[in-house]
Amino acid sequence: MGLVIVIGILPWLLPTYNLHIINIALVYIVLALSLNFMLGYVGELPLCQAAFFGVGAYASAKISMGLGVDVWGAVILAVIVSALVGLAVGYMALQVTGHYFVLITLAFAELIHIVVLKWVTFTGGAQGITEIPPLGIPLIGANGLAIRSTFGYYFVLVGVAVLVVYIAIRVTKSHLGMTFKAMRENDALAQAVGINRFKYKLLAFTGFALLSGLAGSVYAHYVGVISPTLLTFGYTLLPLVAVVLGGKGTVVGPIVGGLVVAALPEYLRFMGQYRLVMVGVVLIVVIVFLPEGIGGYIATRLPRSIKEVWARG
Amino acid sequence: MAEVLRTSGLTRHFGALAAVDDVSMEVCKGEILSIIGPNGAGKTTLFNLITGFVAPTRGEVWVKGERVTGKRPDEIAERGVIRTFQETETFAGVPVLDGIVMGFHRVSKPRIGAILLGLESNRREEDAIRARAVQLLRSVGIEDKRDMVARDLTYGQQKLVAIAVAMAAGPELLLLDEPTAGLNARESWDMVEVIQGIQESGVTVGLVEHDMNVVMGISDRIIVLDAGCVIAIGEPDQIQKNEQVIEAYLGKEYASA
Repeated sequence: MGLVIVIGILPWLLPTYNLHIINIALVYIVLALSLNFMLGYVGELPLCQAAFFGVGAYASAKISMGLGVDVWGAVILAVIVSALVGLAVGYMALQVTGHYFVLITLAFAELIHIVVLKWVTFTGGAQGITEIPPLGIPLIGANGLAIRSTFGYYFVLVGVAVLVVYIAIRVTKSHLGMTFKAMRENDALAQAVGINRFKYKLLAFTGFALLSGLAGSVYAHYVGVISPTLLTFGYTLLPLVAVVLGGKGTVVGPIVGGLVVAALPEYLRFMGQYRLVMVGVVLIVVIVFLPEGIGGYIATRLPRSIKEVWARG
Repeated sequence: MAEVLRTSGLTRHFGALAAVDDVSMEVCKGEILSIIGPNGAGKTTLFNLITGFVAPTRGEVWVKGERVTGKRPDEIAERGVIRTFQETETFAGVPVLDGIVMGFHRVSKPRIGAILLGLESNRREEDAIRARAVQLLRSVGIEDKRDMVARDLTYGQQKLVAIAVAMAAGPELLLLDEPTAGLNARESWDMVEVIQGIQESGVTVGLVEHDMNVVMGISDRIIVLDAGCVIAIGEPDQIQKNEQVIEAYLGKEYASA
């Protein structure tokens, strides 16, 4: 309850710049939570999150600008497009597992990046797309009330993050989470008790793509301008850092990690060009001293009742 | 008696070596069938062929009359043939009880819509499965270890966990790969009791085992493999008298007086 009040009051207290950092953190939280289904539960590492983030962003931009659909409709369609691309990539990539899977997803990420970069007539090439319409609050005024402020998007992104946290808790507490973890813990035994590993890994991968696309879609309408930079390795790496730093296989881990990954580079600006070095140092320190991640460290010290919700992993 | 499993001409080559060579056998409903033979005779490979972990070079596998040759391990498990592993595989990093719940996958598949909506009916079903998992742990005598992480248990306890996971999958035919290997005498006899209890509950058991006291004590029939080939099939007293088996594997002390 206290958390709800803090989340509700926060945007009135923070200056716009800090609120923007929180918004970016919320995007990273969504990305980290979706990656966690694969890395933390299924136990496979996809290196193509930026591609789905980018596909969600571009699909949403193109659909909202080209098809004359309502912006929220564009978000839903973009999510569907991301899921379908995820299904296709996953179908091919999951023919293998382990290191081979990591490399194949990396190749797909690069492939999709190049397509977006070179398909200039459709994607605008390196220039990207500008003047992407903002999300709106329907039923207010003739065309709905456009959300143009950092303040407004804070609530949109909190809504998206809450939805994804809800999904994460539901899945990880259920038999679906058990099935995912069974494959992580022992692939051969999982098959021996009848788990169709291709089916369930593809399910997790598609969910991962869908939610990454959702993050990309909302992000595109938030910032209004997108470019192929969205599909570069940084957007794959930072959510990965967030999951590892926060603690994989828990729900609280990616939330903590997402906040840290978004905030750390900003609040280390006084260090100038050394700030990214400092991020690296923090990562090393966490991996060495808190191998379960910051969230994992907190989670194992929580009372049992809270642990059930946050960290049954 | 009704057959649960049949193989015909089952063969697997690894390079020039025929690990399993033209094995035709059947497992009858309700029996305990042991597969014995010297190291390298192809016992584990036979299990791997039956359960789809290794593809046969030649030959066929039928489960309850249905041809399953070439099917994936989970498809064969789906038809009621569940195995354990010689290396005592468990879901090592999670609490023992969670691992047993994972074993129930075949019995209670995750219903994604119901899970995302948080339906009460689904919660109740999942709670019921958890209660059955506790019962299973009780039946193998390690209920008190339910909250421990599987890899922290003793070797003997891990073997019991592995059997409970397999039982959770609701086998009609349970294939156990060396269930008493590495156990002390007392643990071995506890294991024998568990296996006999499984048979009494109506599950057919296939057993790869080296301990002849165990094999001769609990088997209804025995198959002897040597260099990938079946050299004898029969009841324990027939096997103990078989010259070829004594020669290849048992040695003189098991020759009946």
